[in-house]
Amino acid sequence: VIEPPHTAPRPPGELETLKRLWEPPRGWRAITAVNNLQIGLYYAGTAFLFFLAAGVLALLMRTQLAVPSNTFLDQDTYNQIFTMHGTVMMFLFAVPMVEALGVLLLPGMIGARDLPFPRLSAYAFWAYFIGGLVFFGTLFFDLAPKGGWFMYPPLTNADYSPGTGADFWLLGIGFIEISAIAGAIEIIVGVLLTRAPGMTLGRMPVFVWTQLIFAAMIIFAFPAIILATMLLELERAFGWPFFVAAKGGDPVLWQHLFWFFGHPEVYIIFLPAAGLVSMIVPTMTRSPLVGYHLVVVALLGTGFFSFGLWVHHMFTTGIPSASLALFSAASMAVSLPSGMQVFSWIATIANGRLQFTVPSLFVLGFIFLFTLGGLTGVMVAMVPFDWQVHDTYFVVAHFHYVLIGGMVFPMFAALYYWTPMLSEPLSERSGKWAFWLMFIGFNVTFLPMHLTGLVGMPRRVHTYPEALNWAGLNLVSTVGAFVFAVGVLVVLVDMALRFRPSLSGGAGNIWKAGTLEWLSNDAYVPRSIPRVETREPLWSRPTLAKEAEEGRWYLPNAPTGRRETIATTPVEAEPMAVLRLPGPGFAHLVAAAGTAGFFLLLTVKMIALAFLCGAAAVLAILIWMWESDPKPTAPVDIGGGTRLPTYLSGSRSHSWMATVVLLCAAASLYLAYVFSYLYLWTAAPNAWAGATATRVDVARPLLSAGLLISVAVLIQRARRQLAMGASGYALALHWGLAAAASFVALAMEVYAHWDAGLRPDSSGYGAMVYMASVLQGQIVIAFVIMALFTAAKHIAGRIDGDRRATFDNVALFGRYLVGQGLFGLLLIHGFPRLVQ
Amino acid sequence: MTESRSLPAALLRISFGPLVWFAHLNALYAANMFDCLDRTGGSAGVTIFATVGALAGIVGFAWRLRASAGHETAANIGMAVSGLSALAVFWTALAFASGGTHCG
Repeated sequence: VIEPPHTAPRPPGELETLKRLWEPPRGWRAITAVNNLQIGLYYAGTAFLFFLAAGVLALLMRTQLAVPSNTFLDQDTYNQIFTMHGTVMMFLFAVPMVEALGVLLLPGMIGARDLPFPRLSAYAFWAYFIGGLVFFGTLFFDLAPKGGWFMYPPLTNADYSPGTGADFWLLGIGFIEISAIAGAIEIIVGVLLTRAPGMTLGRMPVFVWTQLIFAAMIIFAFPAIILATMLLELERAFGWPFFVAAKGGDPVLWQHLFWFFGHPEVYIIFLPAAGLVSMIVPTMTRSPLVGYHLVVVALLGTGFFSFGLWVHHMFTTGIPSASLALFSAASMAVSLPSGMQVFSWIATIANGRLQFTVPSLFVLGFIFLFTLGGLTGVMVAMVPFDWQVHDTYFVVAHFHYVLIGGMVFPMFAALYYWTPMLSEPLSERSGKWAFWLMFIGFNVTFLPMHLTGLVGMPRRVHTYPEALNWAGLNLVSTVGAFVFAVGVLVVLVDMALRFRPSLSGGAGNIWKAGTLEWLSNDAYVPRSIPRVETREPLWSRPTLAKEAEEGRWYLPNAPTGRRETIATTPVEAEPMAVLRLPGPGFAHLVAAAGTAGFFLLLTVKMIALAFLCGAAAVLAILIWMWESDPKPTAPVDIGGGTRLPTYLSGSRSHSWMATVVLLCAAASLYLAYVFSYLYLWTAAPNAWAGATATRVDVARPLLSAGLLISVAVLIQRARRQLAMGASGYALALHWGLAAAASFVALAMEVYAHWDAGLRPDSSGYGAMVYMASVLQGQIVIAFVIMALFTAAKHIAGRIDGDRRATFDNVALFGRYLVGQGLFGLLLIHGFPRLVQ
Repeated sequence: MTESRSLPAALLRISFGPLVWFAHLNALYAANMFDCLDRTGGSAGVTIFATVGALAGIVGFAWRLRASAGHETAANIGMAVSGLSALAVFWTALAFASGGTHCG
């Protein structure tokens, strides 16, 4: 057993300094906050509001469907409402809510004062908040999309969905996904680099594992939908025929891209919710989680396997039968790891003694409902059955059991469970009322819906004739929906009466839980950061909370005079540095508003204003990055004679890891493009026949490749010059030349195709060729900005041999640019020569 | 329980099996698509080759992990996930092989 490093009482004034440094901004300045607790509360609160708003839309739909031939809503309004209901629930509630819970709970759970990029979390939140509100607002101006939450073309192309509704969806959702990726980067780097000393991978709370897996899944799944939205928007705006079969495109390509994101999305939502349950069950049973390692294996297995199931949403699209069998089997296989978790929870409950509190009730409700949803999932994984119920209310019932059962019930369990961390507890009495109303209401709504589907009622119809005999089942479902809503209303009343979140802590550890978030908290999270020796440190060391509160563990003070936390190694969690963190500011806010403005103004074709907003966003980000290489101080003592540096660069730094994760997202986007290119070649061979006529002379791509290689050479040369202490101007020149070379290489590639007579709107092939340059262009623009920024920092003397994180990160980005560019040239110029 | 010091090594241990499964799944799907579009032939050969290769790769990788298993979290998890992946490879290949008329 390791003893705390500090034995003497802490010096007077230390706690006051800590409080002053972490003091949250008040009044209107609260919008400048970057502290995780504050941002987490904003995030969770906003996501909850979107849940309520989308819930009201559901009630409107149920009212319309309560009786046959109803005229409560006209068809067009109904189409907008069901599209917005699905879109808001999936994109503005479910994913942001689990990300919000991560931002709110993770620092406490891993014993960090804050996550490593507080401004990034704040940026992600404000971008989501502004974008989400504007997107939802389209409903009130008859501008909302109406193509369903999956927006299949050709229904959503410019011919069949004129107006800006679909554009709001495409640009708005694409933009909100970028905000989700920003949040995911924060979570991954935070989990890997800021855990309390001693919290090895094998000691991480299950919720932390689920957040890590959830964030990694976002990085690899969301780029597919970002690419899809880009392709469809380019088709709508400029006629690039990616999805037009008559021109060598294929509408099924959209479905592949959408569901490659869409299926993991279900697990992106479910896994963190399962993580919440895995935290609540041990506390409520006073028994450690049974089979911790197997649960982690199950989470990883579910996360990985979810990427191989996307075709099961496409069983009716004419895919060859052997492939149907393949994906049917894969879909059934994923029930194995999902089932492992359910058995672990049941075994933990059986092993301990369950207290029937409100969180426990919601957890039991979750296990029951999710298991039912999982069973119907296995049913629809069987191809012949899926053919019968595809696009019927059976599927609606199935996925609501999975999503409401699998995510909403755990969310309410979490609300009741963690509220005492920040506020006085919610009422057990009204919580039980809320649970039973919601549980009964849910089953009354959705259990009959299986039958409604089996008797043939299709999804997305705004009404139905009486002769079809669907009225009784629909009326029951409508009554159930309102009962469910009353349950939610009870929670809202309870929250209005009792929920008063305070960053200085709430009722405390009333459940006697074993994990670190239950240490006495303030805006700086724990007073001192303990060394973790078990998975439930508060259980294994009953004095830990008192020791941490008395400042006897690590970093009880603020040795650099700024906000800071301990950075630890990713696997063993051994301390390696003290990370200095930024305080409140406006940069993230301007950047978020600018980014939102850019995307949303593009939608309404206000191009000049859109680019002005984009420029403001870039400028704000550059201002916040200007201070990203602070001068290193002398190593500081965190306790017990452990002295740590206050600055890291190269592959050990948090910003390096963030860059690597960002590049993983960029590579996923590009891989989704490569898949699309090869898919169209497979599905529309005739369009490729035109490739020969517009073939570019091989000398041109070779010249572009040469320029790209020169970018890599210049970066390598700058690296050597930096090590040798060359002047800032000489280094700036290297970056300037590298930026110019990358730009010219791109321009030459685009011109070569244009000069050869290929046009992006001529065929699916042409569109795909130019799309490679669009994707490379994004990387080039980002690199040019970063390279010029690095050059400016060189000239200002802000980068040297010791302070070089910006240099290393931009160099890494530049090398990626070269790699992607060369691969793109090989694909675009080499592949058609290979196959024709 | 000690830990592997390197993050990339831990990530590889955990993700190797599922990545092979994913590659195997896509190889079989692509072979079937090409076959049915008369672009190439021989998806049966691809099935056998890819499945034997994938199973051998996963089993070989898990065999190499056994030295670290028992005292390293990433190796323990890697072995278990590899086992799941091998089962999934076998299961999906079996379904693919029994898929009846390939292009029906």
